[in-house]
Amino acid sequence: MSGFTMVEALNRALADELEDDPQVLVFGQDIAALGGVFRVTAGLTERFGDRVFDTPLAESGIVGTAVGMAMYGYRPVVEMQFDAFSYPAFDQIVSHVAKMRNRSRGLISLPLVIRIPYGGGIGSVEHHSESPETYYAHTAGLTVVTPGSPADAYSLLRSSIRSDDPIVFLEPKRRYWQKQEGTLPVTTPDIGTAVVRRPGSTATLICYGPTVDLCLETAQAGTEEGWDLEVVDLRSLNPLDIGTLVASVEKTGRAIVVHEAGSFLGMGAEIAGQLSERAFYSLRAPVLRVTGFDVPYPAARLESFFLPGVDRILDAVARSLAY
Amino acid sequence: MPDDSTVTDPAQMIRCLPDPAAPDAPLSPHSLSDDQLLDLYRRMVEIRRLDALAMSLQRQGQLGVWASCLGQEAAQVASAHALAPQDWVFPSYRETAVGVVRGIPFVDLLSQYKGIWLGDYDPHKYRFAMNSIPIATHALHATGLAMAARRAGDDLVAVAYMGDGATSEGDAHEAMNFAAVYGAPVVFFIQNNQWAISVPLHRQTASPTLAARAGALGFRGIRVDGNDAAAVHTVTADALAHARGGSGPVLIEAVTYRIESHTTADDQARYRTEAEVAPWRERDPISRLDRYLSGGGLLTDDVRDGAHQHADSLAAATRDEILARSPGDPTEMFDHVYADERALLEEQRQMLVAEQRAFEESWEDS
Amino acid sequence: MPTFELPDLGEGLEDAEIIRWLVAEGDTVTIDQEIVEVETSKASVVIPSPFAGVVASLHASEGEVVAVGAPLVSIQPADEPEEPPPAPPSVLVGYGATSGPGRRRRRVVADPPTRPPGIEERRRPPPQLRGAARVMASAMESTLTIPDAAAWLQADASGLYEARRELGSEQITTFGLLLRIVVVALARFPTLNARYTAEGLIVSPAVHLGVATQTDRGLLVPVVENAQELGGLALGQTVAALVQSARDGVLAPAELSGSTFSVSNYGAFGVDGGHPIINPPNVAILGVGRFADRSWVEDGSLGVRPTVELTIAFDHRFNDGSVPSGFLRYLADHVADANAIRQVLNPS
Repeated sequence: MSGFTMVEALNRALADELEDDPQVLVFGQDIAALGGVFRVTAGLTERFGDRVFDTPLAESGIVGTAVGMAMYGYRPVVEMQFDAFSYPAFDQIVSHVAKMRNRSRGLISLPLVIRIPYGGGIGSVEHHSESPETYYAHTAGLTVVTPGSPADAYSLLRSSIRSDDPIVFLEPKRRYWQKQEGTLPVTTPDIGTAVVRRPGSTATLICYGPTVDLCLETAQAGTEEGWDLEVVDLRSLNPLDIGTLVASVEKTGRAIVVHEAGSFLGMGAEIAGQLSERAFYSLRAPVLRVTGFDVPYPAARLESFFLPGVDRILDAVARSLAY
Repeated sequence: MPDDSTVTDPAQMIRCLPDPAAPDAPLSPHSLSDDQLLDLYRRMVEIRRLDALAMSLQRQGQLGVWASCLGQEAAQVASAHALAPQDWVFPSYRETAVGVVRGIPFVDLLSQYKGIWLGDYDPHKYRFAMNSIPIATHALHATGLAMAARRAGDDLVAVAYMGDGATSEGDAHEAMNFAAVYGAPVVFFIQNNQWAISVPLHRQTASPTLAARAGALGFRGIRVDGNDAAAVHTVTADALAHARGGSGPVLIEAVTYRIESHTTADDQARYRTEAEVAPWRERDPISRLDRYLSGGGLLTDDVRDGAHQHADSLAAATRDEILARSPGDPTEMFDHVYADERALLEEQRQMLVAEQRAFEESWEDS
Repeated sequence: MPTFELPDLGEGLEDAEIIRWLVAEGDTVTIDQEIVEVETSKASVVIPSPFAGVVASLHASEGEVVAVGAPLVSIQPADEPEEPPPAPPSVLVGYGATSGPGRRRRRVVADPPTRPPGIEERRRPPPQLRGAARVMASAMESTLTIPDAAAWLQADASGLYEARRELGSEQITTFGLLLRIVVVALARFPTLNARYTAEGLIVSPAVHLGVATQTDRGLLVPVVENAQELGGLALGQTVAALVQSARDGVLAPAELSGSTFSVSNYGAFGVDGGHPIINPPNVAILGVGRFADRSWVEDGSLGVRPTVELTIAFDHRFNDGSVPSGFLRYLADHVADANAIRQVLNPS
């Protein structure tokens, strides 16, 4: 294969894990015959039979039964069809998935993965473009992973399925069909590691999931201004690789966090807090945030006004440099 | 055994022991041996004594809260007795009698309410899942585990214990629906104790019975007199066999009554009268079994006294054990959050260690 | 005797009203026997006894509101064991958050959990000062109210070096020898040798010489009492012994107080000069820089001499510039001239 998309990478990761570990099960709504609304599970049920199956339309039911299966030793990988449709399962995720190990004093592990396509930019209707990462990253006991590239999608999903902890796996749906050169399988750094996608010295752009490519594009545009921007892809939101962020800021002195979710109490707020506690004397400007606005996700014709873009990020770099 | 009338007619339910409130009700045969009946009796006496101990301990400041199962002993003890060792129980917080029958030392159940840990027993050892406080959420875990066991070809049934209020929750519906769709071996054991804290059954559902629910979802429902230990045992054994045999889930509605307030933090006088409670005291499950067994000459004064003495000495020992139990190293709160070590948690653990040290030094200094 | 305290009966309640006692003083009770009916904000509750024995005293009467944690009833055990087991606490006690034994008596500030590498000192929060360090800090702070001025000069120290060689270098340090000259000089400039107290300025006939000393515990100023009575060698040895004791932390408080004049040997840190801070209630302090060979111009030609920068800081309320300047000149004239030193080396 000369290059692969994120959907192909995810599909291959599921297939490879199903192949390697008979305890892996994949289920959700419309994932069997249809192959998922984004075709991430296409062909899997043909290949793996009833280990890949459709469920009734009930997100809490999907996650709740996955808890019982994981208790019995299976490694369920479940799909929430869209970001906002993970909310009916919120109680299961927060009250049980996140807490079972702790409640049982370490006696019950829940090795399960909750895949959630998230983020906007696809011109869809309401409830299909949300960025719920803070809800999950805020919850003790959950691990929240989000790939920014097809290679990471493959490698991080495989790591997630192999993890003994429950993982919320957020897939940037507007990057699903983006292609990357190379061949599968690939191995990228493990969960909990942020990666410098582009080294630079002027300022650090901190991003994840759908904003990784955006920030790389911005860094390219920044060269026209004479700026050499560093781009750090978080890859994992909890745990957060604070060490890599601090190291980058100690080098550049400036940080701009870019995400689609609103700024208020978002990942940017946490990162700004961490950097002010741990890199205060290295910062030459406040940590700035370029994010979606703190409004409900707007109608499709307005989303380009809502989502962070290259110009908005470059403006933030200029503001940072003005300090 | 059940016919449709017992499922949909609120006046009908399966009984095996004479009911003082319904002397003319037809009685079904039960499948219990004399020894089994005496075992049930002893366990019910034991759990009533332990439950009273827990109530006292709460009033004496030793437990933060307690949810009594007074009046529900037959429903819990007899259903738990019918389980096979390999079966899994998914309890709510009131199923202490079930836990005891599964072999969990009562002190380990009290531990949670004393605040030692969020749960303090080995769920795998007793096949008794961590009790679930968010209502009905655990029913899905039972269904999931049953689906998993069936997939693995293992012979076991998962039993989800819920109350009448829980049936209003979406998770209860989803759990039953999933179980029915996948033919999972689950028994949904619903103790219809008439009250969800202060809200009576008729505010939970317009359905004539809770058992009728199962029919709508395409599986079997049974309605049983929950204060009749023999009937509960018989019906549960039947349901377990049905599920175990691959015929799908069963819903059992055990009609009973919560004699105590919802928990020690509740006050039933604010929403119901003693006049309502009194008839249910007459139908007390232990008295009922006692009368039945005494009438048959099985339960002698010696056996009865022995049961009470055993319960009293167990309660006394449990009191000593729970008083002696205290939380261990508070930094354990960081130990079980994740399988692997997390830097942020390690940092916070060290912060707590330093704080404790400063605390101890300040006492030494002063 | 075990006393039962009113527990929190329902998830965060604060008190309860005694409705009715079900036992009286003198009654015999068993464990879990109902003893009192109370009304909380949430419910009416009958409380069972956690102890068996004879009711010795009821601590509240009917109608009284009792706070959670307050004594409810004391019960004399029927057969008192030799060492009765302590009553279990009736209030769930956690670490830190609750009142009573869960609360820290005083605040102790711990180090921050992490500190960025390399710049530790700069980022350290204000330290929690104890003992000597705290005394020093408050003394330093008090100088903020002193209108101080300073004067300094470079002195040719050849005389000091020569005199020291004559005495034997192992016998005394250059600094020790300088101190003798200081003591002698103070007799000529007495308004520098004084204590400023609530009663006013007390000019001291005796020189109680404070020597600022860096130790592990912070800056200490051990004091040589009646330094004017000691000859150069004795003074040098006394100072050396005091400094060592200060560093070992074995000085008595009396040996750290009562100075009338202080000297800071910051030259020991390798610096040429500095601005010493007056050690209250003194009214002046001498700072001594590093002894080193430096270029020196005399009579229009450039040579090399051992030199030292001497600085005096003084409280300008009690001395104008002339006295400290005269004092410094006196010192400079003597350290340059071994013969002058010989004349003042020992008390007459």
